[in-house]
Amino acid sequence: MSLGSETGVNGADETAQVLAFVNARLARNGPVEDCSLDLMHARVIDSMAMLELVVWLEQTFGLRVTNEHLVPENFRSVAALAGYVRRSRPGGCRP
Amino acid sequence: MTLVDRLTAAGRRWPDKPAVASEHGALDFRSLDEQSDALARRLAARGLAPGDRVAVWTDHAPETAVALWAAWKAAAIAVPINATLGPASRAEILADCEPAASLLCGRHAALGLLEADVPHAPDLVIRLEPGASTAGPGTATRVPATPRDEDVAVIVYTSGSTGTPKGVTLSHRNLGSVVDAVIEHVPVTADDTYLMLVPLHYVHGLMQLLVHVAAGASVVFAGDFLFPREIVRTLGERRIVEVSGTPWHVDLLVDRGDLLTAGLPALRRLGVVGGRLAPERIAQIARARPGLEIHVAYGQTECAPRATALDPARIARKPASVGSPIPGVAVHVLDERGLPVPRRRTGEVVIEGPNVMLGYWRKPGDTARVLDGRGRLHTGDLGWLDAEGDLHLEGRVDDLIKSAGERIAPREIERAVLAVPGILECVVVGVPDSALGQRIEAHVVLETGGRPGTSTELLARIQDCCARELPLQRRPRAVHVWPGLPRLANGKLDRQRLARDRER
Repeated sequence: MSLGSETGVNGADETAQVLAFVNARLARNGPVEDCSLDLMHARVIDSMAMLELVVWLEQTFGLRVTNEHLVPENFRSVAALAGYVRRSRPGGCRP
Repeated sequence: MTLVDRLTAAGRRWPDKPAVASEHGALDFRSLDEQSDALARRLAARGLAPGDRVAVWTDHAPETAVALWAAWKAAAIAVPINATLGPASRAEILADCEPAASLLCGRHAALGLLEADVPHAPDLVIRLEPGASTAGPGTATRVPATPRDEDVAVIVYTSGSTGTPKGVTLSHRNLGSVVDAVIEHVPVTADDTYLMLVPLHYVHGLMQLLVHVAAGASVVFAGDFLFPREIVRTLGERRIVEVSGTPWHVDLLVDRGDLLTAGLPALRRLGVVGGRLAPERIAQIARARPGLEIHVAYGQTECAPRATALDPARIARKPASVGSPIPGVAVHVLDERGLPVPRRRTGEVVIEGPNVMLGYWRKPGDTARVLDGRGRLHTGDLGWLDAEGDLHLEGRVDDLIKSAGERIAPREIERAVLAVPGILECVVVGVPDSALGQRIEAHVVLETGGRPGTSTELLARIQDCCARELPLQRRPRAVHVWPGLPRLANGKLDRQRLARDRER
């Protein structure tokens, strides 16, 4: 069982987990502190990082990132990612 | 004819045609020519001298083209910087090439640089904001020096297998020869629009920019390769004629971007470099989009970077070939004494022609290891030529296994192991052995997944099956099962981890 599925469904958990992953694995030029920072513009996410991120999201939160989900609106910032996870994880509420 | 001459000629012939474009704007050929002129004068006025290096912080933006040509118009050397490298790797590259100026393109203009990234006078950090004038204050009317064909145009850093970055120096003639050959053999025309997927600090991206500008075609920058469906949408909206990338890009465009079902009437060419598309993928593309030509090409940064290209009409028949030499280039296959081997026999691929680099920047020892007395490039790749003169690659010379006095190409053994039912992937490596020199061990992924570890039962099965194909000394002596083979960030196999984890 993955760590993600054991935690609660409130928003702070997803945000903290996404932020921790981004800073541990992807951020190269200092940590990301602002959850609304545009990760593409700040060059935090490149194409290899995106693949790692997708694999991590699927494994950690037990969701499937479909081609339709793989869009900037869901991946632009830590906040957007956390929102996407909340909407898409099993048992999560869809808008 | 230098890269400067090529832009000037295009600017005169197609002044109002878009040359480079991104979602943030476009530059026509006249503007690209004029803006790079102005920036070159500005650089010269601030003391940039011919032969000085200019760090070009590349981004998927028209300003990157302005920056490159500005460096060339000042008779300087452009050094495209890969900003996705960590600070330590960047520092190593900057210390090696000692840039006298830094040009910040696209997002770098807004983000700025870390102090450690500016090893020169700060007044030679120039931010190229989209749409802003490149002339700036202090523009001199002095026309900078003119580069010559034999001058170094770019230094392109490659990481190499040792991890120490090496700067490949390419002259105007090196790059120009490939530009002419590609325009001729593809062919590329002024009616084409090319979608740039790869960053310009990769020599393939740089070459495609030069090719399309010289041909009067348009280049559209796709931005970071993050959202395959957006890329495919751009292919349609911009009426793109050609797109190219590695098999990794192609796989993502097909699997994640729905490339094969999208309505793309203008798309005619799919270029593939830097690896081999799976034969099933080639067949799938041919079935779904019969009008789409697949252009497979091969080369190295050290040959600017193209050496061979496969006629798209042959790919169905020869999905594993990288084709024949481009115009002006010769490909030799040599044995370890440097003598040509007969057709169909495997040896080292050696390239001769105007595309072969001048050498590695300030590394004469490394240069002497790959360039021979006749100026030929020893690629370190193994390959053989078929009856039609098409090249087939068989891995790297470094991967050759020396066992019982023989030099064995791993791929021959891998093919035999892959024919064993139930095996999905296989890599064989040479492991030090007191009796044999090296003994052959196989690393496999099973179709059913399978328990990781070393399997004697599986080994027996492999040895039985290989008995028909391989002489005794070429059969694997051990087999290691992996849930998935370890790979590096660029998708290539992590051979060091294979060796290390085996020993554990």
